[in-house]
Amino acid sequence: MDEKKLAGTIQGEIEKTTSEKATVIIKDSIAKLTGQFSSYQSVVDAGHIAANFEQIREVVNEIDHPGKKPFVPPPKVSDELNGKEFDVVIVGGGIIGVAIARELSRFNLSIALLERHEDLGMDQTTHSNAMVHPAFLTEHGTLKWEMNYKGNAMYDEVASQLDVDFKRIGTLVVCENPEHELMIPVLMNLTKKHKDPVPKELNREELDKVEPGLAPNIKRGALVWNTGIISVFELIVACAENALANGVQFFLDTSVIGVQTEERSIKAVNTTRGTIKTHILINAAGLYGDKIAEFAGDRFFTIHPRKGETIIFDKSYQPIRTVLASFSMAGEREGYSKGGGLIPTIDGNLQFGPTAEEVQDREDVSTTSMGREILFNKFGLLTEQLKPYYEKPDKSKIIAHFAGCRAATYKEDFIIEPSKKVRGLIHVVGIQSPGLAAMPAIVERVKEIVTEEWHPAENARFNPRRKRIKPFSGLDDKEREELIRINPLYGHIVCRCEHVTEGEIVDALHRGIPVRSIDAIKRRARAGMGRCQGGFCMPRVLEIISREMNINKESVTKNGGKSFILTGKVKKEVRK
Amino acid sequence: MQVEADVTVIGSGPAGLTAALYAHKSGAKNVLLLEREEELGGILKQCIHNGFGLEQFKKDYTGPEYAERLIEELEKTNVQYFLNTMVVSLSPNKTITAVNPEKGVFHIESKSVVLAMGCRERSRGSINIPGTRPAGVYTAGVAQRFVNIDGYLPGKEVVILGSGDIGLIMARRLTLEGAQVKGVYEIMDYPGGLKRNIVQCLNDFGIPLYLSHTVTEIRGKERVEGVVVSKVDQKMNPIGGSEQFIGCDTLLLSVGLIPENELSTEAGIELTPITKGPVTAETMETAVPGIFSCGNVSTVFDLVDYVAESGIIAGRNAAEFAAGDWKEERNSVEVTPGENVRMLFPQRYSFKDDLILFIRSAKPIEKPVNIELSPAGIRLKRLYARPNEMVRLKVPRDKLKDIAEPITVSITER
Repeated sequence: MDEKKLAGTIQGEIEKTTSEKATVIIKDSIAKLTGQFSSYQSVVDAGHIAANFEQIREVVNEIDHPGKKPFVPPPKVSDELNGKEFDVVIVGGGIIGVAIARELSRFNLSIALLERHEDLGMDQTTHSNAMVHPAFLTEHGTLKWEMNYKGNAMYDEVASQLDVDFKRIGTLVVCENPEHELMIPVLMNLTKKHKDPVPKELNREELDKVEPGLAPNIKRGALVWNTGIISVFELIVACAENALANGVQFFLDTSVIGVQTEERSIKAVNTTRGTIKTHILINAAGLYGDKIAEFAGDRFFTIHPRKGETIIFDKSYQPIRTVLASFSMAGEREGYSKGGGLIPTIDGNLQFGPTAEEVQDREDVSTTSMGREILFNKFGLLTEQLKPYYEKPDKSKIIAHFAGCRAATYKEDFIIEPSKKVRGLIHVVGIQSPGLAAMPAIVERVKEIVTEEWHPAENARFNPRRKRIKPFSGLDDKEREELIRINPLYGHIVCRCEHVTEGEIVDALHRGIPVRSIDAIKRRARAGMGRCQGGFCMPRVLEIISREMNINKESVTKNGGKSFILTGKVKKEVRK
Repeated sequence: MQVEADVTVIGSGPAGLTAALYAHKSGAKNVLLLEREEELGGILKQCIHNGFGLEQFKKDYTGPEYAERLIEELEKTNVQYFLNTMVVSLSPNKTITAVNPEKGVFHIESKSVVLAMGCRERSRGSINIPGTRPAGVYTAGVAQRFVNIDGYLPGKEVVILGSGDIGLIMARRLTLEGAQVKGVYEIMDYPGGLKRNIVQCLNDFGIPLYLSHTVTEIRGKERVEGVVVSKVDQKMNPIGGSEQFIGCDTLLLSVGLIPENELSTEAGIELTPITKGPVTAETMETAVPGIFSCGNVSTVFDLVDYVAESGIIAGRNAAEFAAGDWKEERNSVEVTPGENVRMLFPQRYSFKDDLILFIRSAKPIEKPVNIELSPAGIRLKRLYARPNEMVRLKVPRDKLKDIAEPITVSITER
């Protein structure tokens, strides 16, 4: 079918489903949609309809709708980066961008990483469920799937090099009735086809060892044992610290507002802090990946943010040990999410989530009471159903409810490739779940692209290992004693819930990534992460940041930008 | 390093200071007081308002003055105290593991232990307010510390959720510092704090109190830009259509206090859902022999005088236990909440001391009521019963000596 004819077919299909009229133009297998629709959901539906045609490689969706806000790049704040030059500039400091930076530091390349937020991993990375997915739920044959199974298998090595806690707790799929037992061979085939390792079939006795206290009707199950959980923030910090040690430079609070090309080659990036010259630009910009592509004159996809809300419970509520799911959920897979189960975090908190909701605003991280109800109805019931003797899920045990947006393209697959139009531009976009699991394989793929084109020499001094500073709470008395003797600040406990010491907070501030916000410390040292959520330690952490960074207290933020904790000194207002 | 003590008190707020002092006065030779902060006094240090010690000292002190009075008295004794010292664990056999910058990690073997760690504030997470997560959402206690200790304002346009006492006091405090307090919103149909605080902190400053209202959404990207408040129905569910947006840069939460019970749990001390603190006898002894608890770690009291009174009892009995003359002559009986009683403290009577009961009604009863102890046949008349005003009832031991079955406390309309 020629592209014109195909465009007509797609146009018809969109009208049939959404009752709205779109104009479809196809060039080089990229469908561009324009028009004026009455609802945002129809706009998203139209994008998916076009993407569902096999001949379509990606979709640029420009359909207007009520409430659509134009994209306005952030204003320029300084020229401080003018004159800087790097071989490689990576846009985006999520886990993907940071891990690419680390991988490329194996070579004799000067590398800069730009992050728009005041800290790394502030979008999808921190909002993920911190799970390293098995591959059997990812669509077979897609790039996503390939990266998923390859990446998952590489995790033990990554976690060990970076000294990050990683546990393969497995996804336990249980049979609630004899009919479900017929599904076990189906699962076996599915995992085989998707190149997951062979799951373990378990009888009741074996189930009790893996996941004690299951409902009495559960007699059999299968453990897809390669499912892992990890501290995602520890991982990104570890990656960044290792990259830093190997020579990568990090620029936080720095947004890209333009890309300069010459004769279809990358020349420089314009940022809010000035212009940086480079000839290799890696677009790992997540939610803004399409904007970076557009700046470089290579827009061939659109990111449509899909919000997910998650609930985290207090550690005192720990009903599960595995990622727990039931065959009864098999038919319930909705939309573009993988369905999911009950997921514990590496720190032992139960999570419910995430939800999946198409939203217009890429910055929409608001939580809703609706989202909470959806999660409770789905996962709360599942908990009671699979573990009926355990304490029922209770809303008063929630310690956090948060949301984040997935950076989905309409093809709903990863894009990891050199630009077809601009030399030096490499796209690593459309990375959504299971992007965390896929990370090591994605990084490998990017390395191949770079080495094939530029043949950089190896960096002889590259050290893949990074040693973490063990949290005080995890040390035994002797280790604690030793640490306090060397540095008495480790004898001063600041966060009473998580037993975080002043030493750890000071250390987190001076580890090279230039952070100075309350949340950045919370993510690194866990101060404020416990059940009182900073109620006790926040003023003390603020004081330490102010002292160590030599900034006044009013300048300390919750999470960068203008998120100031304090509005001024007392007495000033009265004097006015 | 190993430290030995007769009585070790954990926490130096009003309960801990008093307990340490009375353990000493009752003859304990080696009393040790542990404080995690750099000064003694606990939360009193930031409570610069008055109203402390009215019953205990017949004086109207501010929090720091009240603490100072106790500290001065303590300094005259040989009670030892360690500052900057955090207790990281407490075992059922009363071994304390603590950490501080000078001594590192050290253990304390103590004949008896008094828990006086106080309570903590409920945070945003536990009350589930949907919306964004900007800066500007603080518990009232954090705001109080910023203003009174650090000298900084946490915000200029403030909405307060919950009418607990700290929230009411901060409404006044922030107003005096030039901030605009737009209102206090309370989900219940009666206020959470003391009547005197409603009058002196809100009414006197023209700050409105909205009962049966709650915050249903927080808005703002970097800093709070406003909140949506809604009316709630009888079941405390928001009523659709009643939403109202209120612009503000700060939301203070004063939505309840919970006894700090990590150490208690670790020591295997039985807790009760009635107070969320340890099950306690009239002697302030917990279910673990030799471990006593007092003040807000036991139950969240209304007045510092009550906190101190529990500290006196705990200190005295901890000294007696440490001296080795501790005997319960007969089996203790349970003290249980009956009709219209939500909170009751203590929950066990061991026939050693007079029984000083603290009672909170389950709902406001604006009619004359009887507070009855069955089977003791004790009846106290009151003109009303309100959940925000604890009733203190002292029953002499003589009147209870013949009881064999559990004591039930109930509130009935007259």
